[in-house]
Amino acid sequence: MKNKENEIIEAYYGYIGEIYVDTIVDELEDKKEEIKNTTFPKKLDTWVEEYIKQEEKKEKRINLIKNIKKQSKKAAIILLIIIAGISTLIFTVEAIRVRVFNFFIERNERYTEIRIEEENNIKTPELDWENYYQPTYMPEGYYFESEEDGGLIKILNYSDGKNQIIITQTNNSAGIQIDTEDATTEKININGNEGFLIIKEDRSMIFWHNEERSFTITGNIKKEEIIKIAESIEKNKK
Amino acid sequence: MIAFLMTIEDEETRNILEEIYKLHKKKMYYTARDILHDDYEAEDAMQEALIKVSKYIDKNMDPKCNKTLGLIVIIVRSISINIYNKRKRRKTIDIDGYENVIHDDTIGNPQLNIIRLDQKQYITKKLSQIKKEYADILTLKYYYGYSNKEISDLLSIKEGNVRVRLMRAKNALHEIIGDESHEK
Repeated sequence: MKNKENEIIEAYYGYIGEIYVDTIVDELEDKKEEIKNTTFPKKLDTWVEEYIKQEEKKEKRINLIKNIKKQSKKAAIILLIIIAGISTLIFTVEAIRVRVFNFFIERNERYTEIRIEEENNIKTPELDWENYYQPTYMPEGYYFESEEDGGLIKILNYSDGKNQIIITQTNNSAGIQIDTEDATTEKININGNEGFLIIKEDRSMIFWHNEERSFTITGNIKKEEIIKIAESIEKNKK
Repeated sequence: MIAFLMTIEDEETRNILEEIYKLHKKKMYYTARDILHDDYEAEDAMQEALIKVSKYIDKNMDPKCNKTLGLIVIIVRSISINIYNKRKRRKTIDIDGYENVIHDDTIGNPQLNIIRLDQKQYITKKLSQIKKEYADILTLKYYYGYSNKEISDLLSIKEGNVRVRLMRAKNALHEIIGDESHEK
């Protein structure tokens, strides 16, 4: 009974609130001309535009981190489907050490996991973000926006103000999982190294490796452009 | 582990904020300027208000409706008053008194009040007799349905003060409209 009474009283306050809001709106309506003639500072428009952009970027970053955390928890290991001719021999300059990288690929309904495994238990160097790789080519309008070190992963963000191109580099033994549901995939060659191109709707992604690192590039860009960026990757010596 | 094909889940919310701003920016600025009489402080108040509004946008919010406009005016007004108080180095505006409350001895029967619910003009007139801070807090609580914690964030006051202010608001309301059965 008491609850019922409270509900009625709360509904009563709610109704009063509704009338109060109408009053606020009516008061503004009465001052319509005055409001119209108020000089409005244009810099607030710029501030709002920037604020909304910032929020968008923040959200993208949060989503990226969420995804990284989510995927890293998956303990999926790996059936292997070795691609025809599967292993690629990569010789060092001295042609002394021979490393064999194999693409280990697991295709699920919704994603594909790719991992490069090294034979002979030769480990790639520890990640050293002082000497990471970066592209020397970017499509017109794109500029360097930010970088993130996630411990095992280095992420470079480029933007044209609206779209982003994200480049990641990890140790060669790290696995990546890629959403390939309804996507088309294609084998490609980047500077003599085998890689994959995945296209889904208007997004492209490329995955490849060299003797040191595995890379991905994702963005709303065409196949030709993404390959050009991949081919331009060079080691940055700080 | 790549956020491939990442989508912007909350683009809709940002669009609503943008529309609210486009539709109501002059009203917001006018409200702040009217309290602060200072262009720079009015800009600060608007920025703070927009940041707060963005946290409370839900996807069903219609930027054009009175309910949305009412909310942003309450927020910008409250922020402007806080800035004004800081400027004057006052702790708070005095909202504890009842000096604006006009007693109406002809009212007192709860049933009569319920009957009067459809008398919008009557309530509007009565509402003009209580402080806006009280009407604001009651409206945020019972019309918009915000929790005390959310109201504390929206009005930048402590949660304990929300409870106190709500109680005083109800008392003030019942003083002027009259209701013997109201919550204590």
